[in-house]
Amino acid sequence: MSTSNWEREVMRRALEQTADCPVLDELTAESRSVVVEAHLKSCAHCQNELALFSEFSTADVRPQEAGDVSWVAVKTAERVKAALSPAPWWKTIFAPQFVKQASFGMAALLMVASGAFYASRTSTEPAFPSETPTASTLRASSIQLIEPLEDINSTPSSFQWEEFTNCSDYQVIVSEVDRMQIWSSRTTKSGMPIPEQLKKQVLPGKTLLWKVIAYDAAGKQLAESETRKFRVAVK
Amino acid sequence: MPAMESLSDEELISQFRGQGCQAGDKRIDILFERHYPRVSLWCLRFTGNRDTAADLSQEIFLNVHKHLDSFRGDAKFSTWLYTITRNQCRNKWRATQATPEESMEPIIEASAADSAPDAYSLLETSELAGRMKQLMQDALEPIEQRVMTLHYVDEMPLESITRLLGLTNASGAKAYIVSARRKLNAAAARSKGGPNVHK
Ligand SMILES: [Zn+2]
Repeated sequence: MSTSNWEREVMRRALEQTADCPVLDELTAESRSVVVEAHLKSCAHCQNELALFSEFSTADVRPQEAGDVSWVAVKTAERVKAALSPAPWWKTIFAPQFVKQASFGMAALLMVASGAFYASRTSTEPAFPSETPTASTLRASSIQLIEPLEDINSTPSSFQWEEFTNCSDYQVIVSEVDRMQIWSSRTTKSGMPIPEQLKKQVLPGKTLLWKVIAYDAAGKQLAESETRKFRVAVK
Repeated sequence: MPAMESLSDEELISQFRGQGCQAGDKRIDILFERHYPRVSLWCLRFTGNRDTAADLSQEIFLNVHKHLDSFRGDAKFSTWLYTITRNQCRNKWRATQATPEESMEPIIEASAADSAPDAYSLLETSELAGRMKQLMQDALEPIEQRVMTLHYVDEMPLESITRLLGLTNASGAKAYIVSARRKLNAAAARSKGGPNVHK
């Protein structure tokens, strides 16, 4: 097996269903058993399955795809109806009752779907990994970060923090949740626009960490902010 | 027909079977009408093209109809339909791809591919998969795990994953796989106690 095929096999096995995994009906049951609940907490495969199923069953129709979805649904209904109908296909397709039902179904979907999506998505995700810092790591004489913090709706345009007295310049450091630094820059102001190059790494649903360090004119470190996380919502 | 409309999916199927599974049964119309939009949306996101999506979605419902008598009475119709939808999408994609593995090669970054096989050359694939599962649990975020599952288990094309999960960044699913692989490599190096080979 070539390296890439072998790796692919390892990844596939790591992510696929195991003998312990409950069936989807058990995962999606309104009240899950204690055993299933415990399994779900520790099994990435089952967490994924549940999240994907809720994507299938409750996903919001995005505005740009609404027209195509209606078209596909109506086409599907017409063709399935024709294929299954014992009557001549053209009689069924032009039956007024059928047309009314097809359009009602679509309207109901478009209305009900909005709103339900984000709630179901977030409820299936576990909390942040425990290594992620929380507000309790705040230090007494530290720099206060203003934005972006926690969950936000769109890609932020800048980093903002409160001015720190007697400081000459600031360093902003951005890292992934496993602390790998992905970007850093210095400024004399208490804010900094986010460059395009960094915006590309701000992926929806992915948490990033940032902090600010203040230096005096001699380059000595004066203060450091806590490390805070931010995450842009998916969609 | 208010009585029939208020029945659950599973009750409709059970009544339909009681009738001897006649084609064109009103119950099937009602049942399918409830699910056309969902399946259409999934197919549209999977294919990115409404004509192909309509073909696929039609095949799914005809397949469902064909196998209704094998539907277990205690199962849920929505999860069954979902499973059939996912499988059919995968089959369709495989049928159009002579060599699916090769077409996805570029996402494997040289830095990631180089170190992992050497580090674990003595371990069996299955043992390694068990450790990889733990690493994924520890190091990856839910969204990254989701992208990895669709890519490696479902073997879904990257553009389909991007559309299904609504990833709005420029490079879509690929960026998540690249960052997930880097995190896994770093986590693997840490768990071995050895030096982290990546800066
Ligand atoms: Zn599981």
